[in-house]
Amino acid sequence: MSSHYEAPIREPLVIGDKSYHDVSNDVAAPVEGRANKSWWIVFSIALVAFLWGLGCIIYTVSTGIGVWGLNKTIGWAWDITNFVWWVGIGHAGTLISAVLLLFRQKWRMAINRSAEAMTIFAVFQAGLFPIIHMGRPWLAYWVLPIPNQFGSLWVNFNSPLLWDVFAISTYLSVSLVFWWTGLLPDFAMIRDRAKTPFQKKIYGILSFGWSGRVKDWQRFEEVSLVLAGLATPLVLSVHTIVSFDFATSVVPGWHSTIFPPYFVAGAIFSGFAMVQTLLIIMRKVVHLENYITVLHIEYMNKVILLTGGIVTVAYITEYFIAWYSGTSYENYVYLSFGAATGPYWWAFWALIICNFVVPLTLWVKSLRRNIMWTFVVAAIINVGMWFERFNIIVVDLSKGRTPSGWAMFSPTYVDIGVFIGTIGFFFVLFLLYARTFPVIAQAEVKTILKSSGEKYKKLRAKHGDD
Amino acid sequence: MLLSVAFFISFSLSIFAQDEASADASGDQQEQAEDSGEPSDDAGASDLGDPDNGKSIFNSQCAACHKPYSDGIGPALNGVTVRHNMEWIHAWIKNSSALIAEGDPDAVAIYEEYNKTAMPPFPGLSDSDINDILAYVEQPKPEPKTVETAGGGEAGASGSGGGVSVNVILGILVFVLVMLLAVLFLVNKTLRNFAEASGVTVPEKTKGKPIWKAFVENQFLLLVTSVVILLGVGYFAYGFLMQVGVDQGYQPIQPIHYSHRIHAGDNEIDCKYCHSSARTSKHSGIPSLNVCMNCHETISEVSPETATEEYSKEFYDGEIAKLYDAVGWEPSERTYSGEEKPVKWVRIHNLPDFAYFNHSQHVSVAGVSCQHCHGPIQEMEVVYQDAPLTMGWCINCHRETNVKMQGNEYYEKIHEELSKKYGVEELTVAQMGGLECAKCHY
Repeated sequence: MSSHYEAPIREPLVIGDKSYHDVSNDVAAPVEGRANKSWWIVFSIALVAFLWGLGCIIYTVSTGIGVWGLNKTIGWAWDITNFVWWVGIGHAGTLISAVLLLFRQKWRMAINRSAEAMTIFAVFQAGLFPIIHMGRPWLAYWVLPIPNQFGSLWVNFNSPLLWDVFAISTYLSVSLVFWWTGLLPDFAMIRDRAKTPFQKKIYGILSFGWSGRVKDWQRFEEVSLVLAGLATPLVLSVHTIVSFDFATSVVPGWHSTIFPPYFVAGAIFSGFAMVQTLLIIMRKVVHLENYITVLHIEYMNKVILLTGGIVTVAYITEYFIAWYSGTSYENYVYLSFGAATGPYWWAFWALIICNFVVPLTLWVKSLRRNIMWTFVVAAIINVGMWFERFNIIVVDLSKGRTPSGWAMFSPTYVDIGVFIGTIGFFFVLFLLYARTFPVIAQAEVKTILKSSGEKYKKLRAKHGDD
Repeated sequence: MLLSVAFFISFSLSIFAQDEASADASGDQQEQAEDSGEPSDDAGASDLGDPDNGKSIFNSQCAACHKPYSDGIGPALNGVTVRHNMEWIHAWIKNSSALIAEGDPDAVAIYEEYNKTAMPPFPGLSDSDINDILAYVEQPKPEPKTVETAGGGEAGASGSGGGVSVNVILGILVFVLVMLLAVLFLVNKTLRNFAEASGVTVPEKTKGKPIWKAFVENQFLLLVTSVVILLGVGYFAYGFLMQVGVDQGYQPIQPIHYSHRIHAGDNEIDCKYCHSSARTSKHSGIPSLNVCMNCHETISEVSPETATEEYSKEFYDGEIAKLYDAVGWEPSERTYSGEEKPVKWVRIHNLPDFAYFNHSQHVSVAGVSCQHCHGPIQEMEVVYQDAPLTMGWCINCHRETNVKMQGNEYYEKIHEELSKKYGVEELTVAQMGGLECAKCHY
């Protein structure tokens, strides 16, 4: 520990008197132990929701899209709302593992694994909607530019919906590779501790024969850095492209140049809220309070505050421009006087309260460090961000340029069932993940144990840096 | 061993024997064909006149109602010189109604027998012309020809039908090879027995690695094989998927064995005679049965030369009978019964209904030949789909084909402007907007 300097002002990231072995034990415990009753109960609920959603999807695809509440005016509603919502949730994971890596934020190490898992499972859910909202999903392969018998009929590369295909599929595959690369040392750890031959075999396959040599580690770090450098523009571009679905159109309220950064900020905002929701429960259930500390939660709340602030500025800008433009059509867009008092007033105010008013409480330090309150705020933000997408899509579509085309939207049980199904599917995956994967990147945590561990910080305080 | 050698010899002998026999047979057939095909000069009818001249006169003036060997609108003419004397025949042909009016008993009888259908007078025919015709119709009925005789001797040798069939030769070769193997095995066994008897020990081969094990252990080979297999799977999977929905070569069995080979090929009937709507309609329809009856009112059976080895004359005549059944035609009474059954033709060239295709545009305006899209239809005994009819096939032609601007007033101005714009003299269909979605799919 010679010649190490860390500012004494920094709070420890690992608390408790932890050694390397303790870290391994704590991370491996859920994988090596057996699931308790409450896990089974929650898993069953999630599974039932998933199966119900699957039934709704099959019903939709086999009967036709008309079983949803869409009409000729409002051709996109819950389907794309949920799509954007899930994609947005996914963004926090990559932000935590990539952007924070570039900024050398060590507090990401305890949360990046679960955040990335969340990303991947959320992008799975998001990826369902572009398929099932198609009228003819069995022809979905036509979106790919494959040489064919139609005189090689290709796709039109001008559509943001096609960019979505490339964005989402690239995002999913890069995230998956990034996540799996980071998992190799941790799978190797579980493999080496495994007691049953079956477990040893499985984790032996999953860890790709990782043996932790110096050369391996050197390359591992380089790959992680390169992938982080690639994933960061990906995070920004993917949700930008999703925002182009709206921003490149001519619909009043959609045609807005602010959408790309505003959507990305909203994605990180909602993504961090979802990470909070999941990790606050997880640290309790899996007994990881010593790794996911109040400090982590506070840091994430600060990111939420920042991105929430950006989103708020965007709201104000939209509201201002709606008035300032002097275009009569802009009075009906989702952030305008017309929207605040129109038939969707409740959605407008839900958006303002959930995304603007409630997160303001996080400016108070005691509330920011209050785990219960954080959980409540995070849940509210998730609801609020769903409403944001709902408002953008449905409110803007409901009152277009021709009054004879004005319409209202109300979802059917199939709309709702599909959404519940994706939530169920998400939790099925996440619960399975929490029981079989090392939920904390122990190899990374071990690198900060001696610099940011509580025990060593105390030792340094007592004996000085040398 | 000796036995097998004997077998071998006897078989090779039999091959030669068969070759000779078949050569003889085909030679005989050829001679026969020459006999029957050419009208023999020494036949009794030759003194009447020149049958060749008679044939041409018959085909141009008589064949609408008469056939040499069977009844048509008028009676079969073969044997007429036996039934009537020459003088009467001459009188009848030159003016039959005069004979009937005179009350000639034979004339009245024939008139009554054939539904009082009067035979038109032929005053233009000279006596020698009539004699020529009679010489032609009095020739004995020719034997049906087979494919080899029609194609000539050399075609018979190389054609699939002639001589000893290739399969037989191959079968014999296989048999010979099997016999050789048996012989080798016997030789080997005998030699081993000799060696054993004289105390020579044959060294046992040491068992090496099994070949599959050596293969699996060779990582390079394994990698290369895997790559090759993966590429192969990709090739065949993609190839399979690319022919889904392509019906090229589709050749269903039609309710009537209609032969385009005979009609469009041998008889050189113009395509648009039957498929007349191709010129004016988007739909080039299947001809209605009145088009068939236009000719088949008098053609109730095919000529003996038409029959092939595969399809006999009886078969073709039976198919024409199916046509009569459909239209309700009684060939013996030459009347329509009024009982009609439309023929359920099986459509071969099917486009989905979301594609708009217009025959007249392609046939009349663009002047695309029928064979360009439908293949060598005049050679098809039974029609099959020649082109794939995929969208890529349509698009390719539109990209390569020039629009026929000459003599089309519609294109005068547009041709001038567009050829300036594109700097070319000729404009392809694609340049004229022939690749736009809505052109074919609305």
